[in-house]
Amino acid sequence: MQRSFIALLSAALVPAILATPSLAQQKSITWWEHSNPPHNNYSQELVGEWNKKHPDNAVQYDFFAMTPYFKKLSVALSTKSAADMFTVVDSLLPSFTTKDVLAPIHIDWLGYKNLDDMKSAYLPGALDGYIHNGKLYAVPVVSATLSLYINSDHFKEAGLDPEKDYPKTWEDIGRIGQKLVKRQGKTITREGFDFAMHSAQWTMWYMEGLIRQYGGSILDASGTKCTANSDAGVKAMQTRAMYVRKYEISDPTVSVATAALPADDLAKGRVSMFITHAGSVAQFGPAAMQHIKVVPFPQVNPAKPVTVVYGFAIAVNPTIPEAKQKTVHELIRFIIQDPKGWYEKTAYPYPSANFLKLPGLEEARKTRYLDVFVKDISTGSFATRSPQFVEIADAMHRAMERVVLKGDDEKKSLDQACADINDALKQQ
Amino acid sequence: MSLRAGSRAIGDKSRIQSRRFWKGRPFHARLRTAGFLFVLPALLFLLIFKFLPMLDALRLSFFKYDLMSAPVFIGLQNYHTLWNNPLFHQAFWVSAKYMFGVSIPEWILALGLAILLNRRMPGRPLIRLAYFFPIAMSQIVVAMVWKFLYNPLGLVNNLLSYIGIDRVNWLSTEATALPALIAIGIWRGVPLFAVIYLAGLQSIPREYYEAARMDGAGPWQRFIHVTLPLLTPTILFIVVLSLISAMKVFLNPLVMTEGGPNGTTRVLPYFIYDTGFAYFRMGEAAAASMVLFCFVLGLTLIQLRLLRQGGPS
Repeated sequence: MQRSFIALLSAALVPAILATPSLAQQKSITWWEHSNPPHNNYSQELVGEWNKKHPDNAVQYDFFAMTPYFKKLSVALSTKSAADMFTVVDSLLPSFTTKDVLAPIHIDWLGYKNLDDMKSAYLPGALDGYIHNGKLYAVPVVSATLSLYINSDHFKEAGLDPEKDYPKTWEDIGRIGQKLVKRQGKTITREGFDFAMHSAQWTMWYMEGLIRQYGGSILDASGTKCTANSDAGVKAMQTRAMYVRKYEISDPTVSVATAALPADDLAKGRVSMFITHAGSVAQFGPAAMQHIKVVPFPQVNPAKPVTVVYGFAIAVNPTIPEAKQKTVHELIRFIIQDPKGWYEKTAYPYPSANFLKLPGLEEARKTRYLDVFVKDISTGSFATRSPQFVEIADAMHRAMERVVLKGDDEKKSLDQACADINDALKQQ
Repeated sequence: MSLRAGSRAIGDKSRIQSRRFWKGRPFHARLRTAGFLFVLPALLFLLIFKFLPMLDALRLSFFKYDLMSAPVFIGLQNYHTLWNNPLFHQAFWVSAKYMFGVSIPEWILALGLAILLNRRMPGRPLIRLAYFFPIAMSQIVVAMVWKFLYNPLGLVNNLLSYIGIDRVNWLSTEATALPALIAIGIWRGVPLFAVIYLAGLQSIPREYYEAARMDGAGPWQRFIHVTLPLLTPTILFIVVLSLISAMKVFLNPLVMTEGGPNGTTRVLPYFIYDTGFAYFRMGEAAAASMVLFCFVLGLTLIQLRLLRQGGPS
């Protein structure tokens, strides 16, 4: 009997002991990020440096493919099993902050007096995407916006000067795109311009920029009603559709199912113009960038530029003890201490106020289009803030698919999108 | 008494008790108990990782739950919301189209393949191995390989170009995305079901065919009057198994199309996944999974009934 009892006890205890983290593990800090090779490489480099200096508080770093990562993170936050700190995209932040699953950032632990003091150290509005009810919930590591990438070789081949003839407006894109597109029969073999159809998130970045340029927005000021089917929304959708219907320079069936990365086709010369983020400079590499020029995000009215910005920022797990939170803040401070390092390794500008004045960036301003990116960031604001962001983005993406793939009427399709979005907003 | 002597005494005592436990019982009861003990670990595993989560999903379907806040009881509201959700209806019909689109060709092609493989032919083991290959491959690898094959610049379009067919963007065109996924489902399912058919074919005694041949029956008559009736339980099993597995397809739409274009490959399991983990509407996702469960359970019950009717043969 006693022997059975001991056997049972052992059977119960051994897995429990094995499952208990060792003392070393308890002291270490875990950090999760989304996958982005240049970004991940630099993060790992920083982790290596930190671990050398702080062997007692070593960092365990992991990164995951973007879409599953944010789902994993949501589940981990709900089960209180998330990493001690994790990188989040700004658009998902309202889903987390409204549910109190992020720790507010201790601004004083980062070396600032208060939030206003910290804001003054960043570009205007750069922290807005991470603030909820007057508290900061994440510290930006990179800031991004979309700019237009053009293939200089294709321009020259079509008798255009990439330095002067690049498109400034959405109409310009259609007009110039007609000179760049290549067809074999009815099939487009080289798109003049590719309006991304890869994911709902990209649709939001593109469409929101367009709708704002026409003077509209996707949600009303209170964030409780969809206004994407307004005149501005319809004009934006018509603009998007004209590349397929009027100019026939874009193949709407190029989607997530055809390329691993949205910008791949541009780097490989299968597309002449594509709108993407600053990080693409690092992702493409210097060889591909020799044939590519970056120009500002196209506008409805270039005299009044409007862009959409987004970013990735580090948030802190609220379930870890305060002493550990303090160490995590020290680590965040260490990570963001070198904005130039982040830029050089990832090609994303850092949104600090003095970023362009940092020594050693003069060359990058000329050759790596840093001025273009920073200018586009400075005219932008964050995309729609809502805990239902993913559903809103999906509804807008479906609206776009209906218009460009099925030829549906723009207004009717946006009415449907607004019905879907309003249903989602009621779930709040 | 020393510790070792004490523990030996306790060991002896427990051995005696154990012997007494078995000794007083009839053989069949002992066999039953032993059998139960053997399957107990598997039962516990199923209970903890399958049945309890299923029960919890049923419970959750009556709650509003966003993963991060406390669940709130809302009765049948999630089912009502689902009923009024056009995306749910779309997902259900996409799943139904996929299910029949994959299963019906599978029943026929797998039977044909099994009959072919049941014949004596040179290199039969090698051919069997080759046909079994799709099942041995990891599903994620299958999805990735087919994604490349279906690429506008991929092998499928290259081959079609030789017969003058223009480039088709298989996975991004509404008319072709679902059929493209169905083709993969068939390609992967046929070998598995062919193996099951083969087992059924090989269990049919040769004497029946010889008797039919002596009675003057030709190959087609032998197939209709001998093979098909004796293969009925296998056919029924395959019919239901293929329907259920097709209804649960998830990975290919996830990896290859993300449910697009325009929701044409958004099957019900993908809808459940998105609703729960992307939209944080766990209650509604649980309600949708209950609908899927009831549908699959219905199919299983039909199978059991049909098996009983066509059974002992």
